[in-house]
Amino acid sequence: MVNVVAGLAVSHSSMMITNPDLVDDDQRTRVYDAYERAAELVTSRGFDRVVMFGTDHFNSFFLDHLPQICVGIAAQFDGWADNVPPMSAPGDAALGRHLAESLVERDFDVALSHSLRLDHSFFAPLSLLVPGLDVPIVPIVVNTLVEPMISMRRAYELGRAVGASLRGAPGDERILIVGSGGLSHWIGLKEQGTVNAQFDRSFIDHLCALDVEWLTSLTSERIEAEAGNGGQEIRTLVAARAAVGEASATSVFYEPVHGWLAGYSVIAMLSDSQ
Amino acid sequence: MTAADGHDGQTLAFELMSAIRRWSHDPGLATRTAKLSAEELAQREGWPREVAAAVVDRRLDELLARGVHPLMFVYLGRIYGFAVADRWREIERARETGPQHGA
Repeated sequence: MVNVVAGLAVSHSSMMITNPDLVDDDQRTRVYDAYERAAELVTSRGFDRVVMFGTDHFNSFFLDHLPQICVGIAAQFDGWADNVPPMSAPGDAALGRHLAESLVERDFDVALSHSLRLDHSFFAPLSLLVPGLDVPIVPIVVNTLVEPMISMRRAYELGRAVGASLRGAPGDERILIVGSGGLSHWIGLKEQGTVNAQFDRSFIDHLCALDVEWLTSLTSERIEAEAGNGGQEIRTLVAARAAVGEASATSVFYEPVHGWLAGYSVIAMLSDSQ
Repeated sequence: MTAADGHDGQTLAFELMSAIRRWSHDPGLATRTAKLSAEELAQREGWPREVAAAVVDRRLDELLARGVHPLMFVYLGRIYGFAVADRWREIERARETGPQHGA
């Protein structure tokens, strides 16, 4: 039986890879240490697959073709764009296919890609959490960039459906769920560099507590106002939390990291089942 | 922008964003584009001159008002060599000191 053994909800930026010096040494060390601690926590659970909810920044998807949700089905995924060094990770095409089929059966009309390239949303955190990039992944790209976006309720339900689909999959894989996005940040706007720590901390508390009512009450308008256009990425974190389910969740780290333009959070979710 | 120009607002915003994305994925094209005047850019892309001028002059406020997604300003900053936050501050300062100073 496939087992969801742990989950992580983490922030990302290309700059954490490409421009580390934009953040002072002490804070940068704290951020990297937090990712390392989180990696150690989940590694102790012995995962051998990563199912990852992430975003795209007009790199792989654009307004000519913009799915709300896309599942990657491939034996390898290459990273690109935003000056991030070339990286690649193996994929689990069979698990990706199973997820796509199961999600459609559960009324999620997901798009598929057999040649999906992934930007820093995936590879920035992945390169810190799985430094060898040697664990097969299944990426799920969620549109958090252009309205209309799926509601927070839908993001939560997507995560639940992914969790149920995985648990119903044949095989004995041990799955790490990762959500990569947020927290508050304003991209390209005059507020760029602003972080709303109050919103971020409140979100973290509600996410850890799996306060579904609060999380799903967030509208795009409220997120935009309180967490910025980049804050829309929290959909991936909610999906990851829902996919892991009733596991206990702990905030490993949170700080506003103005040099990298966002509130940075690392949340670990450890399932009771081993 | 009017229908007579051959563009409606949404189409033009899409064309602008498509072009910025195309340039940013082709370093050679980005370098050549950054050297163009507004007139040259307008001619090459088939845009009205004032639209090309908004790009060349890095008028993020005008581009935003035309429906360009703000993430595109990060791309534009890489092409034209400016920091988005700094450019916004310049624009805001220019607004405060009056239109005669431009942005």
